Order: sequence, then C-alpha cells, then structure tokens
Amino acid sequence: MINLFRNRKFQITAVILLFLVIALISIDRFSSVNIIRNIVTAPVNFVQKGINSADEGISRFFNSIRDYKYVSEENEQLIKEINSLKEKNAEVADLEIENKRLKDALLLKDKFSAFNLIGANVLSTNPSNYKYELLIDVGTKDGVRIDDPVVASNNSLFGRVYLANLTTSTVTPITDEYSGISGWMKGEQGGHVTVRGSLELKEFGLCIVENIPKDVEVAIGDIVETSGLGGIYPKGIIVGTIVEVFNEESLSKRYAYLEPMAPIKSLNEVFLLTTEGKN
Amino acid sequence: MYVYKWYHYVLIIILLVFQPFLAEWFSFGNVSPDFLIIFIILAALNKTKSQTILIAVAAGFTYDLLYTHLFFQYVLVLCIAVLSVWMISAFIKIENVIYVSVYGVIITYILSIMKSFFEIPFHQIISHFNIINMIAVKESLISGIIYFAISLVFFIISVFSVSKVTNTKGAIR
Repeated sequence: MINLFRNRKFQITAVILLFLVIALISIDRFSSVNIIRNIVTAPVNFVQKGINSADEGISRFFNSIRDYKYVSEENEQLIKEINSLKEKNAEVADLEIENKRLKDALLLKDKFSAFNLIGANVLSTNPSNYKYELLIDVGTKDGVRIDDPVVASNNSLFGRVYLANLTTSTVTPITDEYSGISGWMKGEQGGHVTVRGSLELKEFGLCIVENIPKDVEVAIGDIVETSGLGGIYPKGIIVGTIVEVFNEESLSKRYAYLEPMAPIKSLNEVFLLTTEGKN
Repeated sequence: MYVYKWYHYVLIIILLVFQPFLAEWFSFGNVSPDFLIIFIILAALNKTKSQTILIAVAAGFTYDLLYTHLFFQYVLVLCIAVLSVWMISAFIKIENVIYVSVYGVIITYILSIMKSFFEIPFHQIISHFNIINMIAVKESLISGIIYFAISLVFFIISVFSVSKVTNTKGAIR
C-alpha cells in the first residue's frame, strides 16, 4: 500500500482526481469549496487595486498633460469671455444711469429754457464740522457765476454757487444757515413764504419755513417751490415738502419744517442754471 | 538759516488733499477730527518756533484757498494753535503721553469753538450754543484719542532708541 502511494503515476492520477472532484463540487456556486478562491483572490485583488489605481493615476497624468494645453486655452478664453461680459454689464449699468440722468437733464433743459444747463460732478465736501458744502468740477471757465442756482437731476433745488474759481466752484445747500429762499406754497391757496437754513435743523437735513401768510393753510405733505422773487432762483423749482407744522397762537408766527426734495447729502452730480452767454 | 524738512510740507499737502476724505472716514456721530490741527499741535511740541509758525502759515493759507470762505481764517486758527501749545508748554514743563493728550483736547476744543465763529452767523451761535458746544466736545474727544495714540507710538519709539544708544555706548566702553 505504501509502495502504491510512492508510485509516481498513482500520485499524478490522485492529484488529477482531486482536482476533478473539486472542480465538480465547485460547479455549485453555493458550495463552501469556493472559499478557497479567497486564498488567491484576496491578495491578488489587493495588488490589482493598487495597480489599477496607479494605472488610473498614470493615465490621468498623461491625459492631463495631453489636455492641459487645450484646457488652459479654453480657460483663458472663458476668463476673457467672463471679463468681457462683466465689462459689458458694468457699461450697461452705467449707460442706464447715464440715460436716466440725461432724460432728467433734458426735462430740466426744457423747463428752464431761459438758462444754460451745466452738468457738474461733486469732487469733495467741505471737511469742516460746521459747514456742509460741495466742491464741484466746473468753474468760471465753464460759465459758472457766483449765485447761480444749483439743482439736482430730479428737478429739485439744491442750493447756489457760493464761490466760483477758474475750474472749481463751491456750492452751498439750502439747509445752510446763510441760505434763504423766497418760496411759494403750492396748492389751492398758494402764498409766498420764506425758506431758510438753520443750525438746529441742518443735522437732520431740514429747513425752516417762515412768514407764512395768514390766509394760507399749511399741511404736512404740501410742496414748496421757488417763487422767482429775490433774483437768484427762477420760478418753479421744487424746494421740498412740509414735514411738520407749528401753529402758534398768533397766525403770523406760524412756521413749518421742510424736507428738501434734493438728496442733500448723497449727490454725486448737480446741474447749474446759468445765464452766462444767454440773451 | 532754518532747517526746512521737506517731508513736513509733503505731509501737509497730503493732509490738505485728503482732508475731506479723512473727515468722512474718521467721522464719528457726524463729527470728524481736524488732522491738520492735530499735526500742527504735534509739530509745535517738537519743532522750533519759527519752523512751526512757518508750517502753520503755509498750511493754513493753502487750506483757506481750498476750503474756507475767508482768507487767513485758518492761518489764524493754526497760529493760535501753535501759540497755545507754547503757552501751555511754558507753564507745564512735564511732557508725557497723558499731558500731550490733555493739551490736545483743550486746544482742539477752543479752536473748534473759534472755527464756528467764522462759519456760522453770530446770532445762530448765540441761540444754539449748545449745538456748537456739543460738536466742539465731540471733535476734541476724538482728537484726544488720536493725540494719545500718536504720542504713545512716539514714546515707544523714543524708549527703544534711547535703550539702543545706551547699549551701544556700553559696548564701546
């Protein structure tokens, strides 16, 4: 028997038979003999994963080298397109603002045809704590003169030119203490009033309305415009609206607070009405 | 012959050009510090009398050309600032961060009140002095903080430079 096991042919036959048996058993997918696959598949799988990932990495690397030129060109093109679109957007926004401003200016020009209309940008404000004035970029060489009326683009009064230099001018708003306007109360019972600036109200961006005639009813929301008297401001520029009325015992001592229609502290550009060169 | 430091004038020009913007950036409750006055007061503490007066006149006149309604209004304000510093320095010999800040607050308050006389109608100053006073107090307090910060920086620099000189002398000996 021992000799049989030592027989070479028997050994080969036995091994073949064993393999066959295992092969036959493994036909059944649920057979436990399939576990032996793990002996090989587990480590091989591990190595294969590594090789696969390395392969992917190398492929990606070479692909990226191949695609780099294309991608960078595309990226550059896209950046250019984005920048161009951004520029166009900004231009459109600027044009919209410009369009609105010019439309408003056209209305102003129609309304005050007796005047030359000069547009001006605000350069800075007076740094003093006691004064609020604008420094604008037009001066005597542009036809600006002292006391020229200054309006905002919404057809409302801002103030007047206080000082005119060659290339710049200083504009005082209607809220300034030195400012005084002859106004007209709009409404059924219109009447002349005086609008002036006050130190007390300046901080709140308000003016005081005084000398209200006895027969004029004043109510919150009433509009005051320039009367044309006084020689500085032409008739019909809107000054502002009444926000508070103080009825004293004596009618002649009535007064009211007025909020200017022009955005006094947030203007970037103004228009000057000048008669320079106009006959 | 005076020693004119060019950078003082460059600094003044920058201050004058940037003054409206500085006033806007450092505004606190609608009140902003006057950097030109702060600079002149600090200069008056460190420079010779003739130099400081010259700087004050030059800066004040340029400021008047740029921003005020009256010529020599700001020249007067800055010259009074310089004179006030000399007067206070003559009485109080001590000079430290706290003293400089207190001088600064007092002088700025006086000058702020003085500026209002040039810029607001007299009858409104009388009837609304509380508003003027409030603006002057705010301006002087904000300026006081700036005086404190600047003089503290100079104090720290001087302490370091003195210790460096002492160490060098020690090493030579």
